[in-house]
Amino acid sequence: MEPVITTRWIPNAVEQTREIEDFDAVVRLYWPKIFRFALASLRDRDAAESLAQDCFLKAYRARQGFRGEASLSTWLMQIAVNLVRDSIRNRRLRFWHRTRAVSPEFDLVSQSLADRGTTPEGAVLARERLAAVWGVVETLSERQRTVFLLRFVEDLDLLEIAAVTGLREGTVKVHLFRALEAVRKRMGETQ
Amino acid sequence: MNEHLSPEDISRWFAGERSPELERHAGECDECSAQLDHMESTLAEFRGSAYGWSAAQPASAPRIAWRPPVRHTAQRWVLAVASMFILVSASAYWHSRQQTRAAEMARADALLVQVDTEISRAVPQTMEPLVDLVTWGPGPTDESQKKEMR
Repeated sequence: MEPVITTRWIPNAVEQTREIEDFDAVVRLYWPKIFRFALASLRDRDAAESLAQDCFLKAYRARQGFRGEASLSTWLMQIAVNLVRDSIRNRRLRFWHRTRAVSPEFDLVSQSLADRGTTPEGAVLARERLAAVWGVVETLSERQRTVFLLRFVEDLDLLEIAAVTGLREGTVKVHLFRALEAVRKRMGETQ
Repeated sequence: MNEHLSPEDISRWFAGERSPELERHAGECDECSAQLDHMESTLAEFRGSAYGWSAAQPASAPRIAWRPPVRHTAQRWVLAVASMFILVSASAYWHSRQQTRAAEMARADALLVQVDTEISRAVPQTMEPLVDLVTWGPGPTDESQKKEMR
């Protein structure tokens, strides 16, 4: 098990600002990451695509102001997190339940992953576990969900999550702990 | 630390709070290590499902659709060029119009001078040689007319 990295990383400002000059390359490189985060957050392909576009459009317009204090990836993710927050606020109530119906392919993917198990029983259990985790993520608060997805989908360390969300490292830990508690409890129920 | 990891310890572990005691126990206790492995594999499956779901989406045009609407920029350019064209055309037209008007005025002035010359003549042009032969004196005054009356 790899420990969670908590050392401060120092981006190379010159390299970062140079990287943003070729914005087409930036989009090619970071589109999958932003789209994936948006998709996992909103569970709506069209909304995720639209959000990713908005994210890169905003970044493009603000690129002159990018000084490379944070990594380009962190900067883009900051924009995406803000857009996800706005999107969820705009949708107000029950956005997750409403959008679930328009993402049937999620079931196919989870099934294919679960089917990699050695036995049919193992595959069923894996599928159930996966569904349980997604079900719990569905019930998390917007901040807990964002922190959870950044940590366990995007593999960001705590300091990066703090930089992306604007939260303190301690607060990130608290949100992550609560999200993990919810997941663990739900897994205990399904076992 | 001889006690097993509590459920909260497991959550704390994955939230990044790992004390040396927890790490030592996890390394020594098979049961706790198995629990941590189970949680880790579940989270790895979750990550895999998110990646798989995202990758299963059809490659979309949005990679080029992020660009700011070029239409607006193009419209601005077209407007700017059209404005310049109108400005230059209007200026050229005004200038040409001024020149035409100046020429017309010059022609009109010349005509007026000619007319003045024509009107100021006492006799038709054909009779002018005869007029040159006659010397015209001053006309009769009132005094001379009175003398003739007497």
